[in-house]
This record gives sequence, structure tokens and C-alpha cells, in this order.
Amino acid sequence: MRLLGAVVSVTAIVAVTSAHIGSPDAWYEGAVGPYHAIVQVATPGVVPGVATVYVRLRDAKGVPATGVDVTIQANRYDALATSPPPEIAAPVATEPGLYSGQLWVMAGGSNGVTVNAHGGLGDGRAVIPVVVVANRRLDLDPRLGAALTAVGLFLFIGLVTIVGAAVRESSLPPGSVPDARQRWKARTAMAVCTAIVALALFGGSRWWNAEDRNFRSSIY
Amino acid sequence: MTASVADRPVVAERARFGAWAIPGPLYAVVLASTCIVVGLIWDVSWHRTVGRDTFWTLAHVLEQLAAVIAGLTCGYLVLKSTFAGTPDERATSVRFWHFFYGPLGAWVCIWGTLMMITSAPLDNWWHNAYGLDVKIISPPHMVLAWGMIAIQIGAMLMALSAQNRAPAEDQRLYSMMHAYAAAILVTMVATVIQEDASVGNHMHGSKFYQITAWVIPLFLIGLSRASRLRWPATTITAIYSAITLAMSWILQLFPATPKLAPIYNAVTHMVPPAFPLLIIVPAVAVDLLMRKFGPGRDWKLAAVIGVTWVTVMVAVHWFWADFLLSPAARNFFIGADQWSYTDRLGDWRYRFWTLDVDATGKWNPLAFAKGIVIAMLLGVVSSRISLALGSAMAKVKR
Repeated sequence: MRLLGAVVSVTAIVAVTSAHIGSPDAWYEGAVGPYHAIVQVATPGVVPGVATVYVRLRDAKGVPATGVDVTIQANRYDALATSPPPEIAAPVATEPGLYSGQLWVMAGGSNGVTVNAHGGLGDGRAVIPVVVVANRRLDLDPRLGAALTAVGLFLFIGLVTIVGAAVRESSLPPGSVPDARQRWKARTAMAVCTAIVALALFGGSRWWNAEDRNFRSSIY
Repeated sequence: MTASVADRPVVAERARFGAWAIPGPLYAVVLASTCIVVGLIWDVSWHRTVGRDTFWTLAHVLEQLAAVIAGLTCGYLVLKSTFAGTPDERATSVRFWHFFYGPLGAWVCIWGTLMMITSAPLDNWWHNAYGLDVKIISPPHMVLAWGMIAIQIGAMLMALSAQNRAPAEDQRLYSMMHAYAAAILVTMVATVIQEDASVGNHMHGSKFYQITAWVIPLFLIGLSRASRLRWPATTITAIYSAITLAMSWILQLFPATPKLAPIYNAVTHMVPPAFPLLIIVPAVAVDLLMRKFGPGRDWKLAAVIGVTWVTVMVAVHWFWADFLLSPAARNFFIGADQWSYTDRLGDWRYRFWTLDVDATGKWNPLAFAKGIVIAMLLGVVSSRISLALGSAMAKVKR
């Protein structure tokens, strides 16, 4: 009975106190000029990748600020040359005061996302520090994998067939029919081609796995 | 000579337009090949200058258009030959799966088109899984590259089969078309290896000579063997040089700025490809050797070509590299010292990379010589394979 009570108590503690720690997103709440802003930067899971930026603007009274020109840009702390032109964060139709845009993040590590606002209340700017690292590995969708495998098999068979046709008939004068020797040479060529392509696919598979291993070792 | 699908349109069109008339499908696949190589060089420049990656950049559209042109043209040829082919059209076709008929080159083009189409979803997934790759050589890019190469080979095979069936007065025309398609293929291959073998900085390391000794003769020697031109390797490499220079000069005329951060190098115009490799010089030697040896002595010929190729490449590029790294090369015509917007500029631009060094990090002539011997061996093997393939291509009539 006492053991049961202990198990129930521990389970309840775990259930009540569990929390998600360490979201990869960056959040900012503060001023962007005369606007009160809440900014979420949903970082890409891979680098280079596309980050999605959500900017919610309100005025001093808490009313959603609409009709504001909001632009966003990302840059690394050590960028030495000019900045690229900013991207537009478009208003979200169903949510007044919410603006959204996408940014390519090309380099991992310490980046900054700059939010610019230009509207009736005035102009403002905020720079949000964002750390971008690879943090997830995407599995190959089984349907895509099946489709690629099927197409790959078709291409494999097609290539071997082309080699066979080339050896069997391509050098024959127009209208001639291949003899037994040509057909035998073609079958040999097809067998050799099969072996070479199989070896190439094996090599390609090892290459893919090596790239995957390298990536997994870099995931945060 | 029996009339054939390649001859009849030529004969009929010659009656209307004169001797310089070419079958429509051949025009179409050569146009597709041109679009591929222009799109490829443009795409690399786009990624180095603008950086914006959406599937629908103009360069990508051009490459996909090439696949569509090649695929539709050759698909039409195959379907027509199979379901509505004249006896002549079937006579100049190869059979596929016992039912379908079509020119060999058309089948290769169709295969290439399917490879290019397949690479798109694979590349898209790869970017989502591992990040946008900022390098040329990745598994999905190799699927795409082989698709593009297949379309080039298909175009060449169609030109070769026309050359090998044409009357003597028309052969030169088809030989030039083959040389043009071959040059596009060599240009593509040079683009694929550019990360390790393109700029002057590479040219004092044996790795440059190993890569160029393996990759370029693998295509060039065989393509030359199949041609009936008097100077096939020279012609092919001259066209390759012209294509690369034209793209370099045209791209530099267009203002462009990066649209992705971080920008470490504030470029203002499209970054051009590197000056073409001076492979026209060893190509002249190749032509002379092939003429001297003739057919039937391919092992010896391959050995001599392999050694000669590397020797001439070193002799030319070693000193050419010094010029490319000098201020005299930093102009519109040579296009040296132009880097991607992501490159952090520094003294490394004027130093030689991947040198053959000893344990202390100093350049070691013995290590370089060892690397050059390996390059020669690679050149010999590559040339022998290519000669065998070229001999087969020289006989293609369908």
C-alpha cells in the first residue's frame, strides 16, 4: 500500500512539473520604435535554411497596429560588407497587427534578425539575437522514398536496356538484323553495365550515409 | 545508299534551302544541350552573386526547359517511330523492350530527362533535410549532372549517327554539330570539377593535374575518335573555350548584388566562371598523336596520350597560374580574382592552394612528382576507356 502510494505520488509529480525546455525559436518582447512588439523567430531546423518571422505589433493602448510597413532581415554578427535588401513581412489577413515573413539564414551560429517598422505612429527598429544551429534530422518520407526507389529502378533498367540496344544494333547498317554474336555481346555488355551501376549505387549509398553521419554529428 | 530518316529530310530540305539543312529533332536536342550548359554556368554564377535560392530562378527555368525540349522531342521521335514509323525510320532505330523503336540518341536523351526530373524532388528533400548545399558535388546534384550529361551524349549520338550515314558532302556539317555537342559536354564536365580544378590557385598542386587527367580525357579522347574532323580535339576544346569566355564576358556585363546575408564580399556584377582551362594545347597534341598512331594500337596510344596530356598540362598551366594570380589578370577579359559574395577576402586569393607539401608544410618537389606520376597513370586509364567508347561511337548508325 505504501509502495503504491509512493508510485502514484512520484507519477503525479512528474506529470505536474514536466515542461519543454530549450525551444530553438527566439522570442523578443519590447519596443520597436513607438510600437509594442512580440517577435517570434522560428529558426530553421537546418543551416542554411529558411526562418519564419512573426511580428505582432500593438500601439500604446494595446490596439493591434495595422497598416504598418514591416520589413525583416537576417545577418551574422561578423558580416563585413553591406546588408542585403530587407524582406517584407506581410500582414496576416486573419489577425490584425500580425505580420509574417521568411528569411534565408545562410550561416549558423550567432545571427541577428532586424525588424523595421514604418507606420502612422512613426518608425522603429529592433535587433533580435538568434542562434541558428542544425537541431533536427528529417526522415525520408516513406511515400517519397518508395517513389524514388521505383523511379530509380526504372532508370536502372532503362540504362541497362539502352546499353544492350547500343551494343546489339546501333552500329549495324540501317535495316540489318543483329546476329547471335551481336546478341551475345549485348547481353555481356548489359551484365557488365548492371555490375558497374550496382557498384555506383552502392558507392552513392555510402556517400549519402557519410553525409548523414556528418550532419548528425553537427546537430545540437 | 539506302535512303534514311536522316537523309530524306536533308535531301528534301537541301532542294529548298541548299546544303546547310539539318533534321529538326537534331536541332532541338542541340538547342536543349545549349540551354543546359548556359543554364548551368548561369546558375553557378547566380548562387555566387545573388545567393537567392528559389526553384524558379531564370537559370533553373532554362535548365528545366532544356529537359522539356529534349524529352518531348525525343519522346515524339520514339512514339512516331514505334506507332507510325516508316520502314526507313524503323531501319535507323534501335529496339527497346522488343516493342519500341527510336534512335539510340533519343533513348539516351529520354533517360537524361527522367534523371533531371527525378533529381528535383530528391534535391528538394535533401535541402530540407541537410540544409541548402552551397557546393556543386552532392548526391542529388550528381543525379542532375548525369541527367544533363546524358542529354549531351544523346545529342552527340544523334549527330554521330547522322554523320556516319550522311553522304560525304554532308558529313562535315554533322561532324561540326557533334563537335559542338561534345564541347558542351566538356564545358559541363569542367563546370562540375571547378571547385577543385579551375582557378590559378589550384594549378601548382598535383591534385589539379590528377583530376583533369582523369575527367577530361575520359570524354575528350573518345569524342575525338568518333569525329571525322581533321582536328577534332582541337575543335572541341576551342568551342569549349569560346563558350566559357562568352559566358564570362556576358555575365560580367550584368549588375547584380547579393540578396542573402551574410555578405562578406560586396559584389556588384554577376560573378563569372574562371578563365577556361588551356586544354586546347594538349588537345592539339592529342590530335597529332591520334593521327600518327591511327586505329588498332589503342593501348600504346592511351599510354602516350596519358603521359603527353599531363606533361603538356603541367608545362602550360604551371606558368599560366602565375599570370592568373598576378594583377595583370584582374580585368574584364581574363576575369581573375572574382569571388563569391560569401568569400571572406584575404591574401589566400593570391596564394597557391593544395600544394604537395612535406611534414613541415613546405612545398616538396618529390611529393609533387609522385602526384604527377599518379596523374599520368590516371590519364592512361582514362584515355584507354575513352578510346574504346570512342571506337564504338564511331560506328553508330542508328
